[in-house]
Amino acid sequence: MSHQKRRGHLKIYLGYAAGVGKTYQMLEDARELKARGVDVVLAFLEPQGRNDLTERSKEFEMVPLLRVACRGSYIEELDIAGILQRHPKVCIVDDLAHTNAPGSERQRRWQDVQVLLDAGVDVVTTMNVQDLASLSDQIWQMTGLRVRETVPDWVFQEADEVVMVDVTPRALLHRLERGVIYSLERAKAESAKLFQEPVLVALRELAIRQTAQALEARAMAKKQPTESHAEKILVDVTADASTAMLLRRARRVADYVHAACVAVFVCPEREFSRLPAIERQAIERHFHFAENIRIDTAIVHSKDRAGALVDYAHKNAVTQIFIGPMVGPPKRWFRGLDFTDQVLFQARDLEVTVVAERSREGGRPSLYPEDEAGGLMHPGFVAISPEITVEEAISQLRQHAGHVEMIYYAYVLDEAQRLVGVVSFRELLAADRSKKVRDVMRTDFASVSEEEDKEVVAQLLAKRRLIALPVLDHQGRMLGIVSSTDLASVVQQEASEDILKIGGMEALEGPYMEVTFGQMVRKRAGWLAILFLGEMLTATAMGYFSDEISRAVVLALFIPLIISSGGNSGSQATTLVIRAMALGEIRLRDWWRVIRRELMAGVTLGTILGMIGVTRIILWHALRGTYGEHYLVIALTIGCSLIGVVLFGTLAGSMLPFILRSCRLDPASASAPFVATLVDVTGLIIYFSVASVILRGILL
Amino acid sequence: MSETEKTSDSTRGRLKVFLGYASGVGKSFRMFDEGRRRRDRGQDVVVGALQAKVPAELEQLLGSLEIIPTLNIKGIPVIDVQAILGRRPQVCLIDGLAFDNPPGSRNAHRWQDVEELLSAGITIVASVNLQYIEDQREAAEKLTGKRVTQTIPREFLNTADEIVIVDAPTEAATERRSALREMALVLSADVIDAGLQRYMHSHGIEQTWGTHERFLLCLTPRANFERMMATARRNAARFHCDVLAAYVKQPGLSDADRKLLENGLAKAREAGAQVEVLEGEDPVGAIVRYARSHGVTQIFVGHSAKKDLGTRIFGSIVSRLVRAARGIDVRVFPH
Repeated sequence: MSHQKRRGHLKIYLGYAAGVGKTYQMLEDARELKARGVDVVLAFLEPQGRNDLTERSKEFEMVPLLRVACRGSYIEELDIAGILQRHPKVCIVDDLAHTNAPGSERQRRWQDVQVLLDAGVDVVTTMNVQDLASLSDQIWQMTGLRVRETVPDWVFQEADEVVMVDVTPRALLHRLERGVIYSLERAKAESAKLFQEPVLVALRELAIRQTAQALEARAMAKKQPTESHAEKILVDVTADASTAMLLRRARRVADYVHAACVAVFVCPEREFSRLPAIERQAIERHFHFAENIRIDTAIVHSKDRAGALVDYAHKNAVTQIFIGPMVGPPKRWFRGLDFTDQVLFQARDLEVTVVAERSREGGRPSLYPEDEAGGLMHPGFVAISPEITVEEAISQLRQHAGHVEMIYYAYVLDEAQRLVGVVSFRELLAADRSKKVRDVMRTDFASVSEEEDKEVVAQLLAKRRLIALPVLDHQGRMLGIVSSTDLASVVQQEASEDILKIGGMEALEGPYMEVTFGQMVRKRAGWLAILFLGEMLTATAMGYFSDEISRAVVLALFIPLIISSGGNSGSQATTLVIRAMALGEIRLRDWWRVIRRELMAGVTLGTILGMIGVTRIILWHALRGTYGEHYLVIALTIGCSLIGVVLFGTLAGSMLPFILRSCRLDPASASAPFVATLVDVTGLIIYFSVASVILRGILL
Repeated sequence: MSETEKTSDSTRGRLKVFLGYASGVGKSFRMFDEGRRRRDRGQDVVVGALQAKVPAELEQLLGSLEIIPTLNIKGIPVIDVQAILGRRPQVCLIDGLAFDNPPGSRNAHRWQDVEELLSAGITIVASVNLQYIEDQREAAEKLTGKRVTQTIPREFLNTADEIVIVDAPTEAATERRSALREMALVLSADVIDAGLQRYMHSHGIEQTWGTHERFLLCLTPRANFERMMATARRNAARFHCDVLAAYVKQPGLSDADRKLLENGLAKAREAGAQVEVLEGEDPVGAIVRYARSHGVTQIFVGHSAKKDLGTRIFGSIVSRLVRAARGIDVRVFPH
């Protein structure tokens, strides 16, 4: 038994700034509904510190908020399951653009609202025109503010009803002055950039136009319920950050003219996965964004970007191509056809729109604000004053331990909320309890600005081996922290790149087959020549011991065995250490631990090889009597030499990567042969030294 | 004091308009209510004009306001400009802007009376219905079926410093009503934009904020002007935007080209486009300068698929335009 559930009705109260009265109007209307007997519940009301709203809200039944566990107890979000269980007719959800706390089931409130609508619950909500995703470039241009919490345009367009809550900017500014609008601090923070009359005027204009467009779209939908797209816009996707702006602009134009929209990436490689990681990630990010704002995506493979785009356009009934602004200065002489021209000349019957970069005083437009540090940060940190004692600081930390996730560090803020120092919990515990925090804190802390890109944040976290970074505004005031868990995936990607670097895989600066023969020979011949010169020392060493060799020729039989054993054990140790380095298991400062381990390993391995050697000599002697009467002494010499040589080999082999690395040389490309050479020479010296000690008076 | 106030002639009063899109939505009430609040805040407020019939719910509001009665000339109410100027209030309320004064009056239209009061530094709060705006009349008449004869010019409305749409409760949203509401919304957005443009101009801001789409069609002899115009109009209807057209005087045009161009110009004018003739040695520079100073968001330009030697070496003129038009989209039409 299945019956089609009616989808909930979405009503949006649209404003253009805080304080125009969206929430008030929404509650007012909801009250009227309630008075008429409609089942209305209040699921969320943005706390604005306004008594009139708080009073009004008390008239409604409330669905308790959910406490999101992973981020400290004071972050409360919509309890969608609770609302669905209660299943009211109408649900009031203030602030549609809100971003849920990390760890919530859905990232954004508009997604929560979709769930309610799907379940047949009517939703009334509020948003500002600047929250529309496609307007964020324009808002940035007007105000210099990057709107972090956006709502995709389709969510707004699918609303069944849009009520514009209007008040003139003049009246709004009056309200602000009289303090009717929410808490003064927030007003102050926003007022500098947003609450300027021309900006408010422009925002209001946008809101009115948006409302008119919504009305028209609804009227159109009534006339022609089945939307047929006569026009189709193709967006050229590149790794360049301007693609975000291009997508937003295309979305806006497509919405105006009711066109379909597709984002196409021309991949120069045959496989998308063969692109450099950074480029691949950028494209994936753009595609993700495109899908979010309901633009289809496609990848075509070709080395000729312009040709492939036009070809795709022709095959897919595209009427207009959107390409980005030209990057970089024009060529000075013989300019020839740049990308724009290439598209233009091939486009024949297509319209091509070159979308300009919306810049502000030469700056770049906002890209994906949600990817910036400000978008990732959360306020769960412990702030302490520099003037309190360590004892007091510890007790404060203890108080916060329950509801603040990040208690590894305490952030020391001055009276103006500026970050002056950082102190870790461990440092606090170790410090003299009567000292002031000021005297134990670190002032050389790392921090990021709120606009910092998340990849930069990730790098900084990885480089400094930190668990969290403070996010500061331009005045150095602390806004929140970004923790490594917030960035887990990004850090991983960054780290894998690091692995490649440590492992020396980039030694050839390109894939093996693509490096030219000349480059390869140059790179390898240098090392081989150095090693060859080193290997010559073996001749010198042999010459030095020629007297001994001539007296006990039997010793010469074992030279290859001894030196290759040393070389083998050295190469083995080198390889192991390089791999461990590449995987990040060991770092430069771990050299002492490695020496201790390799010392033991060297002795053990040497003993094993020595025993095998001794057994072999005894066995051969018993069978064929090859080594004469002193075979036992010779066996002892070989055994002892092997222990020494293998021990030296492993030590040299394991330490060489450290030495090369600290000299900023690439350990992978040179370590193994280098160890072999080194051990060959010293192996000879060890061998003959041992022999001269043991065999003195017997053979020598 | 706000920025906008400083920019406009400091002796001029401010004009605030309550725009209704259907009768009975309560614009008079809103206007007089604002008058009362202003008076409560200590401003010197008078009523300069009332509607002929005062509804009951307004009586009480009006009771607390000083009224300077209209003169009744041949049965037509005329604002007593002389009396108001003599009284010199800070704020004057005018209920209904679209009235023609009888012949022989100080001014032919009421909006001209208001203009005089504004020039004298008196702030005006007025109400008007969508249908009484000259360029909206025809469309509004189609929807309402009501004919009006007296209108105010759009240019006058555009000088409004503030405009407020008076919305009726959304409950009875008929199709006709939402069409009127949409018209009112677009109109007020345009009025706001006019004010914003004035502000930008007076502050020497050349940047386009793009609150309002504005297309500039570049005429060249061979441009597929019909297609450009058709697209521009279709889009303009959807975007509710302005369409401008410009042509840069070029020396040494061949006869054939000149003919084509004149043909295009004629068609453009026929289609109702204002064609600006620009002078300048560098056509790209001239176009971009004009676009910037007019808040253009998209430049429409034609492009030939033929590659001549110059293009092969120096790139096309369109790509030069793209580079120069930073901040403005360039839409290229094949021809």
